[in-house]
Amino acid sequence: MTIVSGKIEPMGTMAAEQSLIEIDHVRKSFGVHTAIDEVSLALGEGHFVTLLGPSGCGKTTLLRMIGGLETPDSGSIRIAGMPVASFSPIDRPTRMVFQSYALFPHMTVEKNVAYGLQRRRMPDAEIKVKVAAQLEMVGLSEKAKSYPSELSGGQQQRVALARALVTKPRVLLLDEPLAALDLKLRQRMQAELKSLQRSAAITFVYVTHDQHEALGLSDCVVVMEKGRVAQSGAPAEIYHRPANRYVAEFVGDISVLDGTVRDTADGHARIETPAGMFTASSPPVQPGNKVHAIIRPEGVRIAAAGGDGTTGTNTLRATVETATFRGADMLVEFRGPADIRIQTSIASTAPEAAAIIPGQAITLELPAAALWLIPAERNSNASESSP
Amino acid sequence: MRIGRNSIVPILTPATAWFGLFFALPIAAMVVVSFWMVENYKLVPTFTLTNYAKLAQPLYLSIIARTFAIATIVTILAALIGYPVAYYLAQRLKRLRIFVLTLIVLPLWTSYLVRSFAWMLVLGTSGALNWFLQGIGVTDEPVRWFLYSEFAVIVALVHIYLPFFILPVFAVLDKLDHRLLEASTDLGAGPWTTFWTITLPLSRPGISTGCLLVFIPAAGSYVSPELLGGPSVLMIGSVIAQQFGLVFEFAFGSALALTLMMGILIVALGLLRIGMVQGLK
Repeated sequence: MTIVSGKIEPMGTMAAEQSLIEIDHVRKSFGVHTAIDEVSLALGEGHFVTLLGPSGCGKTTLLRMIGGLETPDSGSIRIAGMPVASFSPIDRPTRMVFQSYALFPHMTVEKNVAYGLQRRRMPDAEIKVKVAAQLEMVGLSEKAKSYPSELSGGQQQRVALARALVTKPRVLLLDEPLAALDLKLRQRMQAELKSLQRSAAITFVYVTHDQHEALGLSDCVVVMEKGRVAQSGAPAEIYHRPANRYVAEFVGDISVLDGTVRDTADGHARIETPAGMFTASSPPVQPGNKVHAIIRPEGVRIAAAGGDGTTGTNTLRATVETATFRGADMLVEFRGPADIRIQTSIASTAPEAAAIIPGQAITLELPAAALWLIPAERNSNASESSP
Repeated sequence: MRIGRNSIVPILTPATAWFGLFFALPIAAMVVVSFWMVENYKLVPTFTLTNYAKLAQPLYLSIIARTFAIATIVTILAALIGYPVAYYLAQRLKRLRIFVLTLIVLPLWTSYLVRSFAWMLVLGTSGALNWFLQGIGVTDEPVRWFLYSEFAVIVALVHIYLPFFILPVFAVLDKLDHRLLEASTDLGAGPWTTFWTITLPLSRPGISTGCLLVFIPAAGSYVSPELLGGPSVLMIGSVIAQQFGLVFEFAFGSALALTLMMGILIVALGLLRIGMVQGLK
């Protein structure tokens, strides 16, 4: 794939590796509602995989099927080559961390963590040692004798993790585990989860509707829409090279120019838009294709303060509509020719920031590397998944 | 907004007055009277312990023992029969649950007396049960111990008080977070282990309430043992009624009633202790 502006990591190469979890043409309905519609995915061992999507997109159902808590109507899910249903409860290589933690309220922290080991008929002395070590690892040794109701949300979260991890699963399934925590704690737990996943070398499958969480934590993001996979790939790929408008909008802000492809050359395409000709990075397209050229706010450059400068390539003249001060940066909305709206963020300390006054005309540059083409379709229902 | 401590006082006044007038006062009177004497069918306010000494007689001791034994058996049977019903209702039934709950509560709409009488028709020598057993040839002549026996009293009391066990247990099991059961399964527990380690301990508050609601009226029951127990199955409720209504031994009757109350109180405290699950708020 094309590596743009040096910031983008190489594409995820899941398919080339040995996959730990293979999801093959899985369907699942609840009554008339189709929760999962023909999903196929291969997830690599040791990866941090995130299932990302709005509520009702089927991500939790998919997670529960991987964990054996739901059974697919058709298709198969295999872990290390074995169908999920074929594992006995004790041999199943997955363990689940529930959204509400599901800690046993009538058991102490210690007993909660010991629960899985007791089911494996481990000697009491060994259980004691392992539980103590696991609690040490999550920093809750002093709370061993406390009941879950006596702990804070973050501490309960750690107990839930310890309870799952102590049984040494190969795959940890996490269902929006941080949703109930406040922002500061959530950020700290994100960092802890990530380092935990690295040090324990366990495959994490993580469900969230928070795109920042998904992009920040994962090796691989699977964006889901209405029971299907809209796109899967490395976070940078999802963010910079979305397969369609749904993915592009779900993971961040975009500005859109509608256009038609005129000619193509090695990973680039020239498109004609109401604002003129632009060169953009692109997946394979044919001349004549209707496309959206999209750009992230941080990709837009201010070429010249004042709209009367020479219009170079990939530039357009626009006037400042609104400027919103956000602390570290300013969110600026421009209106270009043919009512095109362009959004950009400018560091509030940047010299150009002074020129941003509503009504002011400015020349914007949309660098070819930051301008990306996606198929023009308003309702991207028939979105293709990139394996 | 919370209602302040002071503003709630006027709201509670009628309840406090009612409770004081019709509960606390009569009990206090009974306590006093139980230390008095009765001479020529009249209460004499002279302090004595004879009423309580009389309780130690084998006759009364055996009645007290029988009362608590029957109440205990009734409670255990109601729990054994009621728990699976409540579990099934709360965990398995979805659409029919209101219907079945109504069926369970329905008998409570008929009089306690009527239900006791109904059991006479079922258990009597020419009753439905004997008719059926003779019909299918299990016995040649009617079984006599079905009626006017401990068996009859226990059967009727279990039947009458069963809903009081099912309802609180259902309420607890209905609120049980199914994710806890999933978590248990996920950690490798089979259905039975999950039941014993998660479901049952968490239903203890309901079981405790249910047992209380069965044990208390069963220990104090009067009508059912009178109708179904016959003269040989005397329970303390009947004896208390006799003291007040037949022989005018108010002082001894009070002592008996207070003894029953104290016994029930001790059992109730024990049951409440069982219902307290550490860690639950």
